[in-house]
Amino acid sequence: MKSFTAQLSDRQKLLSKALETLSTLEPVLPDSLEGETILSIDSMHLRYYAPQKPTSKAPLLICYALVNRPYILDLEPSRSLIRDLLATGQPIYLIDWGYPASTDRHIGLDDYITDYLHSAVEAVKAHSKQTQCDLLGVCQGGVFSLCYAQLEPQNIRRLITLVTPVDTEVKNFTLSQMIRQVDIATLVRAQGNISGEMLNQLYASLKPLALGLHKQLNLAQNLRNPDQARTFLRMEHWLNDSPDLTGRGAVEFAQQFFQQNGLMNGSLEIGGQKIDLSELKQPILNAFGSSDHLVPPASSKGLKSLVTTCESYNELELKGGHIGAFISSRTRGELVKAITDFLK
Amino acid sequence: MTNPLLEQFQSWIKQLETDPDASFSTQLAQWQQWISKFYSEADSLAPQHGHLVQQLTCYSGELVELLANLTRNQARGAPVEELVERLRSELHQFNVKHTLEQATLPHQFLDLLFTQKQANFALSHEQLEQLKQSLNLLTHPRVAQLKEFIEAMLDWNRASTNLSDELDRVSNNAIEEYRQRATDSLAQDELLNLWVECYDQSYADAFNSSELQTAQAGLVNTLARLKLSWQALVDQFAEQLGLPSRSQVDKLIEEFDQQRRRIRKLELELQALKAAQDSV
Repeated sequence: MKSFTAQLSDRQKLLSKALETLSTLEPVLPDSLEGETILSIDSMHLRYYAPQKPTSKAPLLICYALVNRPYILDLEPSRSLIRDLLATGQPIYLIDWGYPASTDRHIGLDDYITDYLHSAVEAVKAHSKQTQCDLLGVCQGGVFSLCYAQLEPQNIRRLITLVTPVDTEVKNFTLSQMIRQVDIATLVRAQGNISGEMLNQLYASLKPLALGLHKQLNLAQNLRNPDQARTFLRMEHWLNDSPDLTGRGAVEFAQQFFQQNGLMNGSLEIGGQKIDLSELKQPILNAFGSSDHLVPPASSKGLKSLVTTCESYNELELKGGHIGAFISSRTRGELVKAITDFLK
Repeated sequence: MTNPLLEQFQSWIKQLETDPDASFSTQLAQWQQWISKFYSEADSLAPQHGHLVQQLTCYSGELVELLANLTRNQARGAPVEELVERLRSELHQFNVKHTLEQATLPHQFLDLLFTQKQANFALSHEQLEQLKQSLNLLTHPRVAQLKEFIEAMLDWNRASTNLSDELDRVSNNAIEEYRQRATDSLAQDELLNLWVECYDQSYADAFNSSELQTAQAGLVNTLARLKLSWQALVDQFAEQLGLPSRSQVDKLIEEFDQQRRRIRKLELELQALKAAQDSV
């Protein structure tokens, strides 16, 4: 074992490197593509990203979660699922849900799915002059995409779910277990919207030491050189940039999806219509992270038992966690290839 | 690298390398002086990232202290319990801290709630007794809201203690696991990593049973009720003073939402009319 003096010396050098990096580093913000805004409703915006060369590919609409911001899909040029897909000639449309204000607290799941998401799909069809589009849902956006594809099957050609929770009663689903007994309606009455800060705290508490104290203690490791520091700071910026969750949206999602396991037992209702995933006919690609602590793979895999009559169902297990599964250079190539092959 | 403070720090590191016999305690004391210099001069050291320099130096100092404690314990043949205890106090109620801060309690109650040693948020025996006694005095209907607020605070305190007990169980299980897996051949950093792994696993495992789920939800639920009863109390004051109350603001937001929906419906009808016109 190294002596304490030697370890102390290692720490001092690490701190020196980190301080040197910080002393010369410019302010760091996400380095994302601009995109053209083709639709805005309330705080929601639909952005279009043109492929690098003209293509006959069907448009792909990406539906991100309400929590956190979608620029994680294009954090910086070397970590960008969006740029990698554009390079294959894929036209991309991205839903940015924006930041709900306190006056948006009555916006619910039916507004998000049957109005905003539906309007986005219609806008994509009109903009691309196609009768259908492909839909890629990420995390909670995957739940929305599954619901929408069942409600409006004529609009969706192919469906991709990425790190999407489906079965909320699987073992080791800590997030679901934390929410299970919470009186969410009373919490929302007290809070209005659920604040982004509170949601961040909830995510960090899933691994209290690794994502809390330990991360802080190892801060110097992540600031060893400017490139590493830029990526780390962009990631931190994204992690802390959490929009609030509208009160009604939070209550409906927590109760119907998490507490009642509504997708699995068919009790989930959107705009007064039952969601029955056995009616889904579109081909489905279900991708998830093998070591996802937020949405365990078993939860995503629950989809297989539901979509019994879809044209095809394929699973893709990516070596990584909830975010690493689609942004790390190790898995992104594999994911892009699978998506490109699936959307042919 | 042009910052004079950083240059001096790097010279100090080089100097230590040429003097391997420098005493551990001297080195540690000097290190702590550096940490405090970096903290106070963070903005001049990194004008764009001063807050990160402060964060970095704080936690670097913490980590070195932690490793130093471990080394001292090992040197005198003591087990690693002190390190574990230190970590336990650091993380104690970690996951409830921010939730508690969300409570936005009135200032006069903050002292009552947050004057405990370390990170223990539970009320002391004396504080509990004070609150219980005050309940007996609050019998008039005019102070019913205040009584409800104090009852909610007592419920919240019980829930906080329950969660604390459950987290202690998580820690104890983690310690058991840590004892079995920690060996002398592991370096201090590895021991720390092992503790993090043991604790987080023990925590995740505990959520598979209902006890921790109930305790965690109990805290959130009682906190929500505490906040609601506080809001009711403020509403009562607002009404007496002729100020807009929280419930009036809620009502306005509801009306705003109805207007928003009416406008959205009209927008959609207009779109449909335009589309019909275009197709003719």
